Amino acid sequence: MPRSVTAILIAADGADFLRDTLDAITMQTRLPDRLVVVQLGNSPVTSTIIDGVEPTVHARVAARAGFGQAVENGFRAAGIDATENDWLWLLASDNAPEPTALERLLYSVEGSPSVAVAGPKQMQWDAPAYIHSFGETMTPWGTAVEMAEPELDQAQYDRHSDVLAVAAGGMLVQAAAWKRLGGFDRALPAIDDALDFCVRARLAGYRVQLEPTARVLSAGTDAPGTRLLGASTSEPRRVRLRREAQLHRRLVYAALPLVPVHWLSILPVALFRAVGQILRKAPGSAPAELLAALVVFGTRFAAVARSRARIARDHQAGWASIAPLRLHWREVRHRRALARDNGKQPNREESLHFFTSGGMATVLTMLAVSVVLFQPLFGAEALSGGQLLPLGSFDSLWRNVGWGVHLLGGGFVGPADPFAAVIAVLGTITFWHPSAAIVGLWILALPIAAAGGWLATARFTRRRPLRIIGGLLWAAAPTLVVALDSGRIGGVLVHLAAPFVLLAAFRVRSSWTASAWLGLLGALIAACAPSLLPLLFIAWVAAVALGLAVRTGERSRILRILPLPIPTAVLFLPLVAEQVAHGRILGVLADPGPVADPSTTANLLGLPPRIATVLQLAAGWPTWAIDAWEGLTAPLGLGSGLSAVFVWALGVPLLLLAVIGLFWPRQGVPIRVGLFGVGGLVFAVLATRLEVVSSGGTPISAWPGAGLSLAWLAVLEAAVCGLDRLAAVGSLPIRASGHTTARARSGGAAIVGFTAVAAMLAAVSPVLVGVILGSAQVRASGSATVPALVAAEGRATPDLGMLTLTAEADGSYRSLLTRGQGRTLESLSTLQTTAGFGESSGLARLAAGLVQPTGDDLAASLDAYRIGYVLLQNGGGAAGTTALADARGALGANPLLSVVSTTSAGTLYRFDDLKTTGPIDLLRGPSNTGSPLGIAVLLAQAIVFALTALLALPTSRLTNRFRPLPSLRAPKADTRSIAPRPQVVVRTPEQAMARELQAVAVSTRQTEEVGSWR
Amino acid sequence: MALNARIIGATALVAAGVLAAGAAGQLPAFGVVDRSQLATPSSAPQSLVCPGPAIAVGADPTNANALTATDTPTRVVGTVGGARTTTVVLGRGEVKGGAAPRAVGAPAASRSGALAAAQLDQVTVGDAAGLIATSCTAPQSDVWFAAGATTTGRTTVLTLANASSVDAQVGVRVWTENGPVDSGSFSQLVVPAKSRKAVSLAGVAPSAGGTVVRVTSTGGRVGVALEQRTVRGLESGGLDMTGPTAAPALQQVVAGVRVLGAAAVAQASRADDYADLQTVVRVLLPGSDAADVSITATPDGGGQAVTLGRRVTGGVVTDFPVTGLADGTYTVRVSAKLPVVVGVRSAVIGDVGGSLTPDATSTGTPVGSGTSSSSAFGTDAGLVGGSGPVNTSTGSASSGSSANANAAASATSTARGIDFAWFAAASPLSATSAVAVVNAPAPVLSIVNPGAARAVRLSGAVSRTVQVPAKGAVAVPVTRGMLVLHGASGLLAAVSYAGSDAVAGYPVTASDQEARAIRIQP
Repeated sequence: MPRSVTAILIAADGADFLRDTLDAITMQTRLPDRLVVVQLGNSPVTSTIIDGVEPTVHARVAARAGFGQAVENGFRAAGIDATENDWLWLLASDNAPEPTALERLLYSVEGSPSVAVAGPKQMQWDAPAYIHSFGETMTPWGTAVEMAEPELDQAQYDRHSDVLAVAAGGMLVQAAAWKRLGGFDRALPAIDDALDFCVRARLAGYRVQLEPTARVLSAGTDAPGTRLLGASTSEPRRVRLRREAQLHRRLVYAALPLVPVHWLSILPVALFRAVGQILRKAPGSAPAELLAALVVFGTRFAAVARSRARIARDHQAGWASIAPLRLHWREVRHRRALARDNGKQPNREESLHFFTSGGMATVLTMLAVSVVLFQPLFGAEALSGGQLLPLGSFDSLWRNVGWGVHLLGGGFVGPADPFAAVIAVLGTITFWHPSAAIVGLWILALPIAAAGGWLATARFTRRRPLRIIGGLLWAAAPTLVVALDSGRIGGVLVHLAAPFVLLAAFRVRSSWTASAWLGLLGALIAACAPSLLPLLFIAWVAAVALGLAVRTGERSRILRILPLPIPTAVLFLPLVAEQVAHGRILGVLADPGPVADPSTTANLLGLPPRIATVLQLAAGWPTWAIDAWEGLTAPLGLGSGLSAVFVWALGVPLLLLAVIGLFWPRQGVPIRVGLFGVGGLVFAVLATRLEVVSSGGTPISAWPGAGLSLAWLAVLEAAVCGLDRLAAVGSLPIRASGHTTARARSGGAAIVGFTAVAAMLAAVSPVLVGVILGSAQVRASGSATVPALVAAEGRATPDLGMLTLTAEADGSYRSLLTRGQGRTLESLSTLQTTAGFGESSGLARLAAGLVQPTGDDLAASLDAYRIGYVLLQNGGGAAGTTALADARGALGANPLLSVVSTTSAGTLYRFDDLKTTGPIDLLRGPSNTGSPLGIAVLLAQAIVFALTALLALPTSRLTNRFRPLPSLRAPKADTRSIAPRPQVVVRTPEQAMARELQAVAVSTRQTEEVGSWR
Repeated sequence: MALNARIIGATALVAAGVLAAGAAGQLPAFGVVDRSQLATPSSAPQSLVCPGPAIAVGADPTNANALTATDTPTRVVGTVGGARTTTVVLGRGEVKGGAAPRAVGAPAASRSGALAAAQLDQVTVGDAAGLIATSCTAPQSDVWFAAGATTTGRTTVLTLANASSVDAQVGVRVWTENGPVDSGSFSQLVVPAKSRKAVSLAGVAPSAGGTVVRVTSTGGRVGVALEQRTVRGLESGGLDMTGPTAAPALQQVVAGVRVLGAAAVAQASRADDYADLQTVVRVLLPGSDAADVSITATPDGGGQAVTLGRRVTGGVVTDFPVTGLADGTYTVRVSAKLPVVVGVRSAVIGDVGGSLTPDATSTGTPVGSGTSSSSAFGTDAGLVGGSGPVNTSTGSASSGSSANANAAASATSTARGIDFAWFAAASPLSATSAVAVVNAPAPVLSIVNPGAARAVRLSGAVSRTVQVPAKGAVAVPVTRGMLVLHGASGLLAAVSYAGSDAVAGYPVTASDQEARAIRIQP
């Protein structure tokens, strides 16, 4: 009985694949009786190619049709009789068959009438010696699994013949069975269509078998496929289609009573899977998981019912009959273990040898130094002084993030500073006593800085002494030392974060983890030093532009750069919106935290202050630490101007080395890092011109140290590069020299480097010893910043107000309302310091009424603001003394107030008749979780940061261990070395192993280069 | 090639960095916003404290330290707007007899106009007699007096009246010709609310030829007056009660210094123990540094000025005698390189056997007739404290042509009707100022103009417009009652009284007690 074979080729637009495939069909040893080509869409090129082979039928379907639908159309167009001797041979445009493929397939179905489906061995198009697919099956839970790994075909899978399913491409199927089963399920348009068909065939009593000697090619993900699933389909879309198909099959295959359970579990499971995708560093696939779940959850009722009805109709054998063909758990585990072992890539990241190359030693040394220098801070309840205030309770930390009421001054509702979020996270580390985290930060700052400096330097040089120099110089940076001395917690955090920014920036194009870290660190830096926001934005735009312009072939990598500002944006957007609405957009750039005292102006040899400031910043010093320096230079008999020059000059060796590193040509010398450094310096200078806050009428400029940290990083790395060149000069072909000379040069470079370190250490040492000598602004303190009496009462009555009036030198008064135990770092807001939020006129009038006799009802005002204490302070100056006397007279004569104490901090007056019950009407407002807007802001921030943090976790290796992804194609290294025809390449496994090892060695060598933006 | 490109790139980078940083450093500061608020609370009701009658120390034979008073001063009280005023009688404190001090009040000046009050006490009983005309002053927390003495026969008493409802802790600091006095016992005087306390300076600064007193109070503000009475043997040397002088400043102006019977006073002052009849300018540099002090006495309405200059030691009370001044009304200007406190004393001596008459016939006193050319300058005779040469600016030093012959005779005479007065330095006035003029002999309003010429309109007891020359002064005879000065902003003024045996005076204060606009910084 002659068999009639109708080849149905589904032709998508893919000229090369299609031409080869058509050629291969025409070269079959057993030609199909009829060739039906179903063209997706109507591209003229494709039509011409198809008509070139003169198919029996040339059908056209809509371009959007799926594979199964196209086959169905071809089936109908060809008018095939669905007899037992009619067979369909399904091919996609990339399924070029070997000449004997059809012959072997037909031969395999010859002897067994129950076989309705036969599948060939799919080989990889690029590497035809490698298997692409050879039989499919399911795990007990229904997950589709390829039976064969993408391995070199050594006949290792050939013993499988009875399988659950075969791939669609190259499938030989009995036309009668096809018709009876109704073809592929429309609900599975792209993925698992063949699997589902085969399962249904099995359930209908047919057999499905493989024919290992019949081979067709498959281009895998490069295949033109269909519009639904083709070469242009993105990975997230593939994930979505795969998951949709799996969920659909699960609902179809499950026993009826279990369907609701499965249906209900779709969404929760999808959340877990989305998180898993993020942990797997595939953030784009996380929405795909959710989308797939939503689609199946909400829109598939009819499709599932149809599919279930069809199975019920054709059902002949029970599900038990196919159970043996499923992949058993034991086998699943075994395969995962195999994939794990195969997936272990050689360690592409060159280890920096932190422990063996002096990194740990540097950090431990700095820790010891830090323990000695900050010894007075040990056991401190909190730190205060300078820009530092104690932190409030854990509860208070998290009440002051997001959007809500701020109990500052007259109270206002608005967004919190992004810095409040930083403080909240920091304080949560020691949630039982948040201030302890600040103490810990101060003590650990130097070692952390040394570690960061060491790691960043290790990207630029292999030389151990130079790495140590890098670590030491980063810890001894004037910015860090001054920031520690003056309590600039923002400056400290920026300085500690900067080297890690550099490290993450190196890897951002290739790693989602690095991208997430860069996003988080960028948000940290922006929150700590908002004056750098423009610089960060410029750097991001430049990176994107550069990526677009230079690396046209690697556009997908820009995907990892594009989302970098999202965490920063989500933190800053509420504040920016509020400031824009208030017309004070520059206020966004203000330093968070308490407003600094006016700094003494620089005086350098009579130069104009502005030029002196630039010079001072260029020397790396954010402020004019003249007191500390005089102790250093007084023994040398230098005046204050000369002493500054002397101290600045101690940084000159480093600058010279940086210039060497910048100018001496060498591959990888960081001119872009230098650009960033220049940007840092320029923005440090700009910060000194940015005066958006004021203290008692004196404009206060922003802290320039954050920009200087970036500049210092560039100078440091450039200097290390310079040293590296100096050390390497012996091995350059400048003159013939032996190893001894090279070693001497290397040692010489180290000595030069350590001299620069010693000079810097000498320059910063007077500031560095400030804490232990007690001359630093930062000091150990209690957790209250108000007089002890007020603090004691404030502990019981947290909203008890104290109004501090300071008689300023110009005769005005500075008014500051604090509550409870005094100001805490997290409660402050730049909205107050820059835009006057919370500065009600009522409060000003109350202050004005307190310092002079008045007819106002002060008792009512004091009650309204719940001010129980008034502290009068002296701000100095002649007019200030008069103002102080006026205020003292008025406050003393006020029958409402009684003097409590007079100390150096000022005179404290108590309002005895304060009513302290009930909420303060003036300060009433929704908390950060008390309004829809507040909840929305908190939720948005929480979601973005949770996702970024998940992405930042270094879990890719972990997830690979836990649930490895099977590789889809042959290792790249091998494909090049494979001869085009697998039949003629005969290799023993030993040979193959040797080749592989060789290839791995080559690839390892290629990835050895250190230090580049790529 | 690559090398060149790199060097070009690096050079461009460094150059761009230097240029950009340098240029950025020259930018003006941006983002500056003044967020201070100017807040003006409503004004408190006006309040003035009238110190009450003269207080005698030791008049009670049984208690040498007892403080007693006998008189009841009369007051002139009023506001610019003519609103009703209130009077609160304060407690007498430990002072026996006499009237109690009064606190006079009125609504805030913005509603009723400035409040002014003065009291008149003509003391005729007791060991000393004389005219006391004192303005009632606003309670303050820091006041200065350049007046007083505690040598034999001189008694100086501070009257501290607390009209507020809280106790006042008062600290008194005294300087004498020997420097500052460590007045530990006066550092924490408590003046109870709505009450008075009087203290004798003899307790802290005995035998001081000249005192300067600073009174500071915390808690309630106090109205302070300093009373000095002088008894030479059995003869009354007069008495006076003066209000606060201006706080230390580089420039001080004492307006309305009345000199009457100059020749008689000069003659009498030559007698033993009568040196403090001389007209003197009391000067103190409160700090410890010495400074040159220049004193100019100019007759109101024009005439030859008397100028003298001298280096004054810091912290030491120095009296500059200004002898040879003709009868008239003078403006004394004192300038120094350091802040200085100033007061002026002058005395009159009546007829032998004459008695104090309320309506002394001294209305014929030539006002503004300071045309005497015989300006002369004091010797060191009456000078206390100072050392060094006297610098004179003009004229001959031919003073004291009258012989000492009469001195002894004068000293023995009794009840000649001697009175003296301390004139305090004035403070600049506000645009509309009020002053109360009491019923004392020959009241004269002196207006001093430190700036350009202008007109001042007077209303109330006297209605007229007075032209005040630039950098000059005018003296205007006035009568009892409320006097309002319109357009007086920045001027200084004083009211003085002088009869043949009575002299007194006080500056016009600017205390409209309006709440000021206060700049509140965030």
